[in-house]
Amino acid sequence: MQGGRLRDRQYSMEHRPLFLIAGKERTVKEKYRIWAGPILLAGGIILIAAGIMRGEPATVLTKAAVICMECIGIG
Amino acid sequence: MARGKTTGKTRLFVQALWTAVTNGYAYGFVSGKIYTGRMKTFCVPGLSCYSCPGALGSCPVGALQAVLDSRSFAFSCYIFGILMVFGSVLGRFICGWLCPFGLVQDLMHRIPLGKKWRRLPGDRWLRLVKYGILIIFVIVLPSIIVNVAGIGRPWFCQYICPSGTLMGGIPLMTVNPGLRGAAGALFSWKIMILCLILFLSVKMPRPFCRYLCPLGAVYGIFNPVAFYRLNVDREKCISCGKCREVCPMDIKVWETPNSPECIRCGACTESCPVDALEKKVAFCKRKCYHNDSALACYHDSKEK
Repeated sequence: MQGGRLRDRQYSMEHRPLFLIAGKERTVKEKYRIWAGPILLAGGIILIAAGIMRGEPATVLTKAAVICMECIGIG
Repeated sequence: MARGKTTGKTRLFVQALWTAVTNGYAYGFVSGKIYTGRMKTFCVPGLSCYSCPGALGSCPVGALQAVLDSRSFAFSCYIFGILMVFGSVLGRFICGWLCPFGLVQDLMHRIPLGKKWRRLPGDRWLRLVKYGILIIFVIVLPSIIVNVAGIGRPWFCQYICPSGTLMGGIPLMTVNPGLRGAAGALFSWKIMILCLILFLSVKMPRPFCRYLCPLGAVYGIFNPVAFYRLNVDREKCISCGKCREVCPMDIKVWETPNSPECIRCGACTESCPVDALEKKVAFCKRKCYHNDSALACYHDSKEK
């Protein structure tokens, strides 16, 4: 019965095919999910590059190269 | 070998190896000092304190607070970028396979002490606490509460993080008498939190990852869209619930295979009696199952 319910939900309105992607009909949810990963990866690389240009790694190194008293519980 | 054992042993080996590699500065443990080289400019993916004597890289959560509580930056492009790259590629696979504190919790859970718990009362709401910790203790408080010099504090590291106590505080104080003498009420508080987490880890799997870890909260947001995913073959799945029984995060895998809570340990895929679960990497050309996953949709065009 549970398996039946799951299959019913698979073809609910939310999951009905709307777009043609890679030769098959896809839902809105699937359409965004396909490209979200690569877009976030590209965004991440751009942000890293921006951070390096702003000099953030030096701030990280300054903090990480000395014993962090707060981190070890001395305050 | 019994089903579910192969991945477990492989994962334990990978976790131990990764912990040894990223915390491989052996001289630090002997001398009571930390590594100060340029490799600490880079972040390791897991929760690994940069004040651990062996740490060769920085903790992303600590580094994020370090940038946010500095005078120079109100936003950290560098650390958010690193989190986005790690998150979009691996998601919470990092929690399951590459986090040193995850390894500690997994080892503690192997101690056979009384009846094990599946979850704490109020589990559903407790899981939201980690998002609150991320927003309040990691982002907001370090940014807005600053001293006269405009410098804030790493609130999460200072008051919550048990990884810093275990991997940084205890080893450093063991070999450094000067630091040992400086320990006070804050250290007692952090030891208490650590003991509580370790006790809970014995009784239930991954309590810190489930309820408190801000890094897990970040990677969890990426889990549904990460390159590394889990697919369910709806035609094969009989919804028997075996996957949930073995899941350390207590997830209904057949309903939400890419749940933000899933740490990708692989126990469910090993335990599935009908092989309806499959691990996948995005945009690879291998054949995969038909289901409502985006990646499966992308792949199955290759079958034609």
